[in-house]
Amino acid sequence: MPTYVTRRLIQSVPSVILVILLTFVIINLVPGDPSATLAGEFATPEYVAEIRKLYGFDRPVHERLLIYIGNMLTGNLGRSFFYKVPATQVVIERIPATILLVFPSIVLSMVVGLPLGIFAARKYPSRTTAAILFQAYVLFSIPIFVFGLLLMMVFAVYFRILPSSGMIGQFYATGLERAVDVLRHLVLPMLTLALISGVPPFVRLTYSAITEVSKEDFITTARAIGLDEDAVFRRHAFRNAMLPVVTIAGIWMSSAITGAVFTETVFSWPGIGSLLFDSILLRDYTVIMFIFVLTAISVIVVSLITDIIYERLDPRIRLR
Amino acid sequence: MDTFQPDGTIMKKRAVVLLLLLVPLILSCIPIPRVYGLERITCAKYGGTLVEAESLSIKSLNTVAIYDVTAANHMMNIYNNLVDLDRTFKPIPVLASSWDTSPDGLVYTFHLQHNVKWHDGEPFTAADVKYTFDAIMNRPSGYNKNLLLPFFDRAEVVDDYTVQLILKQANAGLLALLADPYSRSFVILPRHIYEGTDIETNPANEHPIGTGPFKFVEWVKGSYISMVANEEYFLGRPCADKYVVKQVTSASATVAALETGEVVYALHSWTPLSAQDVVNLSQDPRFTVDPITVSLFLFHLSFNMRIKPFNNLKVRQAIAHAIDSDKVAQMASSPLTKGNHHVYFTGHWATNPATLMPAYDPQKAEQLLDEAGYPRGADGIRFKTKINYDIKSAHTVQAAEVLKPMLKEVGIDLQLQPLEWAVYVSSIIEGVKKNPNAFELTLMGGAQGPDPSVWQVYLGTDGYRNIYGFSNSRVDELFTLGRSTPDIEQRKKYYYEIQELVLAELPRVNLYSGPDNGIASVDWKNFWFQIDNWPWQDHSRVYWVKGHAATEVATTQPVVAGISTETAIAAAVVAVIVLAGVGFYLSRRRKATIK
Repeated sequence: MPTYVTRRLIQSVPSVILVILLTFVIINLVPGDPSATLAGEFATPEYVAEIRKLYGFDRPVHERLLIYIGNMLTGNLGRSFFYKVPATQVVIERIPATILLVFPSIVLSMVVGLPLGIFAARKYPSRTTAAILFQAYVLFSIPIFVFGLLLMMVFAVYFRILPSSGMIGQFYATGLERAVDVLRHLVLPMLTLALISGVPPFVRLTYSAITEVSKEDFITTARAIGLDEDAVFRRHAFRNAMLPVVTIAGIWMSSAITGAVFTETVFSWPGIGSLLFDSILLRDYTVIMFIFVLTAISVIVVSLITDIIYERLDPRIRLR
Repeated sequence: MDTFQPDGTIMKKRAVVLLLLLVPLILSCIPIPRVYGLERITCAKYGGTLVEAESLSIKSLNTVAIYDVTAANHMMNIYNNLVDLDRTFKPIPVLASSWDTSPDGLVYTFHLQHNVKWHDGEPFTAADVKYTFDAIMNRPSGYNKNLLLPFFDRAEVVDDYTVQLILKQANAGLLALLADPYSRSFVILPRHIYEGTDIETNPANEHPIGTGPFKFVEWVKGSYISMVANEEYFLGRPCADKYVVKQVTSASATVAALETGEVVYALHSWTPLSAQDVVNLSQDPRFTVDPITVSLFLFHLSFNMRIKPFNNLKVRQAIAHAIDSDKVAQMASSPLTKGNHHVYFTGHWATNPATLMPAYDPQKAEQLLDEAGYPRGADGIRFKTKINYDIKSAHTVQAAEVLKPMLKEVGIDLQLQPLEWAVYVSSIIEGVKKNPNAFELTLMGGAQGPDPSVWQVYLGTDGYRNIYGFSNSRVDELFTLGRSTPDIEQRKKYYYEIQELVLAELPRVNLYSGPDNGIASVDWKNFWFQIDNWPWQDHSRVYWVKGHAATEVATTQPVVAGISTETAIAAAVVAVIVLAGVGFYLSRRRKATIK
């Protein structure tokens, strides 16, 4: 196992480099640079030019790319032009907020989605199944910010039982009080993210995976040898159906860092998604680059973990 | 009194009276530095937490080192300037209680307040002022340095409470520049914290120590900054106990936050609220909405005077008469906003009350256009033209859309061509210098204050933003004269004349200034835009009607640096999930199966 893991990690290095190359070039090809914004309202054209020279925006793309890679190899991922602190610091400070939002959402989606999908599969064919699948479609089609606003209006403005936006409302609380405050603020964005982006895929996927597996010969055999439905399901159908579900959960987790942009914007949740949005508008190149590098790395790590879990679940797979 | 006093006391009394009459005569001969009374803060009620909503994120808390207008919006509460501006943009004392200027206008001597303390208890002295200006000028590059470079020499300490700013070249706009309500890049920094360190990377940038009415408590990036009342503020304790600036990124969330009371105040232009949202809020009895009348930005329709038909004065005047600037302002910003009818900002000290933009008179417009030689064609159109403007600015887009029918009514077909700002700058602002046909009409704004000397960028012959092709040597002369003396009454004369000359040639039609509105809950009163003499966004005098009459010590636990609570919760949540997963997995394992 350790050799496999090491080998995979080494193999992933070219992918990361490729991501960096492509992202850098694309970002820098977009017209407009942050010089005018950085220079400010009363700036003279000379000052704007000075800024442009200071940060190297006047140099051609390939030259800047080489400088960037050179810096990266020495561990310097640049400073944010706007925050004036290292880009890594700006991004890492916001990671806990996104993790806090996305992980519970994934768990909630699975806790709600899997049983619903299983239930739909077990009850097939019936109106219950149709109803569940239809609901999943409906939820998935609703634009996430509309749903988020709906929850906000109902629970925050109308019923006043939950806060409307942000991560903190008790600004001067500490300790347990602060924790409870954050968790209260977490409810609506987490529900939004889970119900719209998480539950429907899990429901549909689990349903189709189990339905597919149920048609296999070994299921008929299991029934034939006298196992009751529950045992058939538990020992055979379920395990085999979990493989695609694990894949989806893995993909979702790896895109978690940037995947919650809409939810974070609607609820003013201070995570990576809203930081990315902000940075793109400002053309804060270093921060954008680092976010994409992080995403690339997390995709690689999560897919590695997914493969390891696969090996545990499926005895036909042996990782070499 | 003429009571008979045999010992000559009458003569003494008369002498005393005569002497008393002479005193004011004598005193008026001594040049007294101009002082506006700085009143101590008095509060009808104390208490409450003022929560303000803003949609852009704050990048830094040191606006001297790092240019950030979003942060600048709140800096007056943590830091102070030497001077600030009242609602007519005249300088008023803050850390400097008075100042005098040398006759040649090159040396400004500031007499500083005596009882000012930094938030950590250290006394504020002239050394802090000198340090701040030295730090600004010693940076390799900087927004504030760039503004001072053409005319500033150095700062000198005279004694603990007297500091001099010495210029290379007279610039009467210095005081307004130091106030800098837009980017607050001249607030005074504490020497004892910053000396010997790099002003850009000093950790105090994240935990600012200032002299202002509110002390910094906590900054959660992308979320909020919280402050608490400074009991030792030199003008007295502010009325509110606490002040928080909360980032709310969407318009609906801002409305929701106002409705639930999570937020009690917002400035329209710093939120994504639409004009309709502001109208709804103004009609809601729980909120007050006040248009903010004096501002830094003056939006106007610009003519390209180099090309037909706008090289004809009558055409320009006709278009001015065809525009109802009040209606444009209402549609662009909110029904409460009025048009700017003066040639410079309405309400500014330098604005000539006698020069007014041509009044709305479509018939006069038609008459002038006929006289100019542009009669209506068979289709009713006199001529076609196009207008460019910034596509991202919501109010500009709406203004353009309102102008179209207004001009159509007098027979001008207006085509709307919005541009991205970066393209606008390169193709029009810079482009028109090489290509006189770069545009026909534009909608433009930009900062033209707080000091009228900066207006030269728009109306001086070589002004960077002079896209109109306006050139008047007397105007250029007047701008130079206007900078040469700090005497406001004298400067007024020069700027009044500039406005007369600009009105005569009409290179542009003013529409509205700002635009901005202050939105507040009715439970909070006395905001800076509701009282006359107070600096932009200074919240020391705003009070909560549900507060209490006597002062109360604000209790706040200092926030302990270290792992933030959110990180701890996030870690705990992840740990729980992982443990649950492992537990689930282990419980599902069968006993050892035969391979």
